[in-house]
Amino acid sequence: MKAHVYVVEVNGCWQARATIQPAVDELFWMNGSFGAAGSLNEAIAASGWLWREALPLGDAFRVVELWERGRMNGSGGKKGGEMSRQDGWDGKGGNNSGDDGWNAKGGINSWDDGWNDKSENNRDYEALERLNACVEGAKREAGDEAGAHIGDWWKRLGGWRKKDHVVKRGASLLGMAERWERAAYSGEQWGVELAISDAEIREIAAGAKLAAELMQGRALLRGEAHALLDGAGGPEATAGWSGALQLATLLGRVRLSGAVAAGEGGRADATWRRRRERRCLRCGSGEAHLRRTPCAACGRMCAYCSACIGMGRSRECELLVIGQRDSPLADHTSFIAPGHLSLEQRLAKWSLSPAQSAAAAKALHFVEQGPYELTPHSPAEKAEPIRNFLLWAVTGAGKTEMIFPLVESVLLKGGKALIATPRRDVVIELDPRIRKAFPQASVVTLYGGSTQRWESGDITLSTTHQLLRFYQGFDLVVLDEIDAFPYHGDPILHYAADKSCMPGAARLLLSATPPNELQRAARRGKLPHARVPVRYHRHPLPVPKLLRTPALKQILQQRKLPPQLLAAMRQSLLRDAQLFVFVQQIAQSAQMAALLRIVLGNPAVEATSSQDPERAEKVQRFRSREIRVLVTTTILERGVTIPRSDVYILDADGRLFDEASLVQMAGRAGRSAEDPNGIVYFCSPERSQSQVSAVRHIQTMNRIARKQGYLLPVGKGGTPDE
Amino acid sequence: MSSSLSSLLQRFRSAFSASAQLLAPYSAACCMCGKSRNDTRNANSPHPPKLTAQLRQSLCEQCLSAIPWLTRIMCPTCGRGIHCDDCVRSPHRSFVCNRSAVQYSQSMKTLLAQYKYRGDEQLAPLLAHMLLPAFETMTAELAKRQSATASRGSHKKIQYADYWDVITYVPISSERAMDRGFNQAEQLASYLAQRYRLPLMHLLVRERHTEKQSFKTRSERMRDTRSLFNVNDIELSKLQTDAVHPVRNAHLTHTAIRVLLIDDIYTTGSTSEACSQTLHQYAAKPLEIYVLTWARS
Repeated sequence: MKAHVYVVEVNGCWQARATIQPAVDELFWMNGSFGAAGSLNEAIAASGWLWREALPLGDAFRVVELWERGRMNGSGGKKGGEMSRQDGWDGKGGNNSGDDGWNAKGGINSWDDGWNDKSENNRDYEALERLNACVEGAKREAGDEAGAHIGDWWKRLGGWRKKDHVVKRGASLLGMAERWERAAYSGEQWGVELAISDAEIREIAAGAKLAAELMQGRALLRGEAHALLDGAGGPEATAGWSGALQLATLLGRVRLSGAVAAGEGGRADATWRRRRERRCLRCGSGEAHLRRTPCAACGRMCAYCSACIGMGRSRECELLVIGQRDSPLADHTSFIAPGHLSLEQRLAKWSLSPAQSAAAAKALHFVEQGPYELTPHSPAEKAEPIRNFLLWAVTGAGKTEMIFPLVESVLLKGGKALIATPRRDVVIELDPRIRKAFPQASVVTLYGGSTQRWESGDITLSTTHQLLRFYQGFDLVVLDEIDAFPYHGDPILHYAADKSCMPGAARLLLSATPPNELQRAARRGKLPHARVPVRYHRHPLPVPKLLRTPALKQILQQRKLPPQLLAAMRQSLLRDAQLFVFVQQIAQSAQMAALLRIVLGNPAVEATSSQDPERAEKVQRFRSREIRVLVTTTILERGVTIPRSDVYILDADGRLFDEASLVQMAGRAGRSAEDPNGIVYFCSPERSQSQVSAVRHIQTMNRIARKQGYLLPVGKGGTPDE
Repeated sequence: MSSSLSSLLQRFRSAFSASAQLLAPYSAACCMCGKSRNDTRNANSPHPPKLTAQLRQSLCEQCLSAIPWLTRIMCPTCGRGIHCDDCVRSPHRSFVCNRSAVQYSQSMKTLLAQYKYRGDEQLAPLLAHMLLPAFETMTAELAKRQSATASRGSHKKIQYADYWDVITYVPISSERAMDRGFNQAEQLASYLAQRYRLPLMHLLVRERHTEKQSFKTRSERMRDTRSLFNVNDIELSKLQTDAVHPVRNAHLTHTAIRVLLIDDIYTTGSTSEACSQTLHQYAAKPLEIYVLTWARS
């Protein structure tokens, strides 16, 4: 899309702005009164210039940047009229300075329309000239970047450039802009004719209020913002919404920018000119993911982001709307515990196990203590870094229950909590549990295709992908399964998770198998953390048994299970357990299921994978024990909890099964208090490092639990150590 | 002399672009399924049409062999792979015939949606390259028909520029252009024009803004597409003044200006029909309009 730029003189100081609805800006600056909403602007401008030509959105914002830069560089920035050739204004963008056409002081004198005898008008005119210079500068940059042709390079090498931007002066320049004068509203009549009617003004004022409210903490593309606002009722036409968003921007409630925009700096190219590197402001991807195409919407080459295209196209001339959020916790006076209850008393109501309580207390203390000096892992550009806390809890430790007291604490303060997890299945499963734990709070569940898409609540449950649509929206962020696909190793999702946190907010990282760098940071004391080495039922984790079997490919070829494996599986079925059988490849799952159906003589064997449309239904049938044996891939390594289950991992030496994955799969066994001693088999022709590490990992956790006295004593149903 | 020089230049140019292709970034991931396709490099199952290197490079073997090419054409008018009631019902079309590259199957639907609605313009070259076999077959068909009527032609390599006077495309409304940022048909047409060095012209404009075609029923589409288009006067007059093809040999007998109209999908043919009618209506000289679409639903 395109946007306009204008300059206004407020309290003797000229400022430049970009707008998507100039009529709203004119009213705002020249009168300030928005019907029933009353006066919204304290500082009415003396006059202004609106550049008539609509510019590509990115260029319009660039004009404002160039203006700001000029103002900062220029000593006479306070008063436009004091600008002169010498004051450094011409250094914009690192471009050639001499021929920019900005230094048009001579032009004023030679122009005879009576402007030059009034110094005030003279200043006005200079502001317009400066605006012209900025517009030309932005256009030239865009043009240079779009066509870095050899010919261009040649010309520059030769030291001559075609002067295609002719300095506009006098009447021709005045024709480029529209002058804004103060508009007095006298009774029924506007002093000057306005482009918008009274009814529209009312609608826009109401819409702006609504937009400011709804957009809080969100970062949405124009289409999404319209959908959000449309859902809440209000102006019908697109123009109405643009006006409402523009007014909210003027009031400082919303920030508008191009969804893909350049930062400062960037590498110099072969001809020593800086090419400003762009970035997708929504997902943080850099040039590597940007594609430039001719764009019919803005009329020039325009970059779009191919990394987050699945969530709508973010491009240079697409509007990104960011809502400012005032958090009730923003003052950062340190937390005072609600009521007069001690930490222990507040934790009591959640009936946690001793290990859970200890970890929850530590985390709660961390959350409530407020921001403090700490070497952060978050980007340095934020004034207050996100405070990370690692909750390292074994599979089946009851992580969800541990975060309840933290969420409660933030809600009591009036803050907003977010619980995010990479997988959609888990979000859907978590939903009823959260609603049950917080019956008073409003809970919003977000995932691709969620019906609550545009709702806002105290607690937000979301997939990590949906975080792209938030900006500093939450006072507590809980990131579950941080080592799981697709969050782990995806810079976009990390960017999104950072962006969604209020500055200085506490962020809890949850995992049973944290990535190595986090483990290291925790060990070195750089990352505050709590470890929960035991399950909520206080029995040790089942230690996997290594079983030597042929490779699965061979088993499938021979159509015969190795005798030990067959015996073990029969045993599992006899003890009435459900069987998880993990394989490496999707293609093998169905074959294996067919084989098992025959050799076990049991028809209740099914296979599922990420490509199975009936996956959810099969998991449900597995839960209800209709299916006894489920052959699957790593897709089910997390999130599925079956009370009485045994785990068989075939080809456990395969490259897809790393330590974390093996620990997670082994974690499917022995989840319930009734059957805490599930059996786990790693079946493979070879013993790989991952298998050994996974077994050691589990044994270490059990040892720590025993040492800290978290395990049930043998007399009370506990199990002796092996 | 001049022709040999130009052919030399052309060969030089194509050699240059071919070697530039070698340097082009080359993605290890398949454009359609997103999976890495390193392990399926040298499976050489035969594909019905001749495929370009670009196509083979950007798709994995599985996706490539799953493309539902429309090679067996049952309806000579609309290029359908099955017997066609539409063309029996209304046999007189304003265009000569339509040919499509693929059947509009579910996977092709997904691909087009990714490109057209999601706006993943990286896919434009891929789709354009999928259009090439259909274009070449269509031209060969044309050549055969001509040489059958005229002299018993020698089996020379087909010069595509001899058979087409102009390429044009189905336009989109300005509102849609603002919204989407590009016209998929125009992009396909411009790839084709570039590759075969044919003149691309913006002959048509879309007057009204209608609902997306895909939300409409069959009869609604038929009714709605009338008086939807108008001609771009400047381009059309330019076509009529300079499209009398100088290279076209004497043995090629047709006198009408031959237009190739490009669109992304052909469903009932009403869009193509409306475009053709508009062109016929405003053109002073006789036109012969052929339609080439990416998919036939």
